Amino acid sequence: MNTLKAVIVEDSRLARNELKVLLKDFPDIQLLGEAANVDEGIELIHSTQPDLLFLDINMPEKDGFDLLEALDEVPVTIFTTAYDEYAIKSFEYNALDYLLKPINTKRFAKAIEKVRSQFEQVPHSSSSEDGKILHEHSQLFIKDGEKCWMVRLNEITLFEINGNYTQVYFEQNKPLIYRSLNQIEQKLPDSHFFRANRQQIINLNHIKSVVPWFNGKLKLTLQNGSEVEISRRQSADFKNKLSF
Amino acid sequence: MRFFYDKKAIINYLVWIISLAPAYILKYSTAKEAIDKEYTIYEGILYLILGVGLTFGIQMLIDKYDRPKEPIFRKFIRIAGYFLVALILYNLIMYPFAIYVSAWMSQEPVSPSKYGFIGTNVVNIFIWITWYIVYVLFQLLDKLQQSRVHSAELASNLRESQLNALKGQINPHFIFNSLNNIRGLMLEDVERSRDSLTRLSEMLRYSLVKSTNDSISLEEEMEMVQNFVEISKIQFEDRLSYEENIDPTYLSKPIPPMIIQLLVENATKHGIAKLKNGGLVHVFAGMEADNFVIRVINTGQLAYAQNSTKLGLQNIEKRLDLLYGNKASFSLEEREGKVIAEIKMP
Repeated sequence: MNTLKAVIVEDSRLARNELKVLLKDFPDIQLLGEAANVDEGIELIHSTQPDLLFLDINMPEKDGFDLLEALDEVPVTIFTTAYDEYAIKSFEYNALDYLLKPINTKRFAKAIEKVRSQFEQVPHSSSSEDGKILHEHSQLFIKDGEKCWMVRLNEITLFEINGNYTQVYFEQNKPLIYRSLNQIEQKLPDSHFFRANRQQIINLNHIKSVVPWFNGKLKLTLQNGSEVEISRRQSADFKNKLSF
Repeated sequence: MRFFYDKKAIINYLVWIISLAPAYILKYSTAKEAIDKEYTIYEGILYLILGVGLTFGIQMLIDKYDRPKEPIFRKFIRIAGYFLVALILYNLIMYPFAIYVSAWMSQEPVSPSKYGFIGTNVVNIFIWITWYIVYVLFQLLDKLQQSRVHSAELASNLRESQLNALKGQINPHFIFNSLNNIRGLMLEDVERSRDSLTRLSEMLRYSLVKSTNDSISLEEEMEMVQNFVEISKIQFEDRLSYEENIDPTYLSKPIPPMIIQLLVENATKHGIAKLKNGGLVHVFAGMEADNFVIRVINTGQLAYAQNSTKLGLQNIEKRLDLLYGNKASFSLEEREGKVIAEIKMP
């Protein structure tokens, strides 16, 4: 069994101690560090690249969601909260696990079990082959207004420009994130994502059909039913990629 | 039959007595012969009994067949019908009496006058209409009175339940965080953990039991505040410093329960908890220019608090308003990096 690398971000020292005591029963989880606030937490995550994050929601100045928003890729996250139904309910999709403090030992073991099985299903490598920051199994945290999602990159069908924002399409959801499409493109692995035109980046695994279009363009239908035109400039690239 | 001694029956009796008395007193005093006077008394009594009895009948019918949403026109027809039936019954009883009893008493035949017949019936109709108007007015007044009493009761119930709901608020986040922290503290400092459990129990008991009182002594409230601060210190450790300045002469002054507690809770939740390096909470209570002033000052900015403290502050304002009306006031402001919450009360 692989060891999982974990970090704790939690403002109360005693609550961190509690987690450390609970983790003692799980020798395959290696605690890399702990942070008492969001800024320290972000630094810690950047430097240690953990697989698993124990995260308190209520912390001074910035909260747990602010921390997740600041990360390109989020580790598997277990929220620890005293009583915060509201925050937990804001998760629309891929409800992550959360533990209520004081933490029940059995409940804790179950959460760890869930994390383990997640890692067994998904082979994890810290960075993709082509040197991009993200890989197909990378998990993203998306917050749009009051709603939050945890989504794996390979679940995303399409990124599309929408003003200064980018609209992310996955399943039935299409939240907006405050990043430019170019910023996103730089981080996405080439093996799975393709810049179809100036407006859109598509997931190559989500293509349903391709038909030739006029002016040397191509027209794609994606699994969610949306239609995307591939510009003439990109068409050759696209054909190469799929070895037509 | 409760009809006969019901308070509504009084109108019936009064209207008939007042309407008939003058006519019969006049008739009695102008009667020349003793036998006429005697007959007048009998007729008057019968008239009164008939009038009152038939009116009760009408009232019973009106009450029995009353439909709340009946159109006004139908109701009018229905009531007019009752009057007509009552009138016929009246004539069927009164005229044989007038003719035969009077003839028998005076030993000579009596022919009823046409004008007397019409006149009596018109008078009867007028009496019934008068009675009905008074009766309806009386009912309206009664209803009005009842709804006044009812709404006063409602208002006082509402006030009570609002107060209870407002007082009982102890932040669940605080409770669970504290329990978790005490659990962690047990591994390092058993004595302090034990002490913290006692304090937390006291706080819970205070919010469950004592907060149902309308007022509590300043001293008791401050004990709870100290409990709150001690437990919060487990969470915030050296990030939380606490000072208090309480005028000892006012320790027994009655104040609304949980009010200082709530301000201190807000000061930690929205002040200290948001600051990485923590800060100071200061509580003052004492007289200032004829007002009793409670002031809670904490390091921090009001901007942080703006979104979320609304509920807590509304709670305080509402309670002060319910208890003291406009004699008390509450203010919250930021000055030189400090947030100052102030209550003035009589």
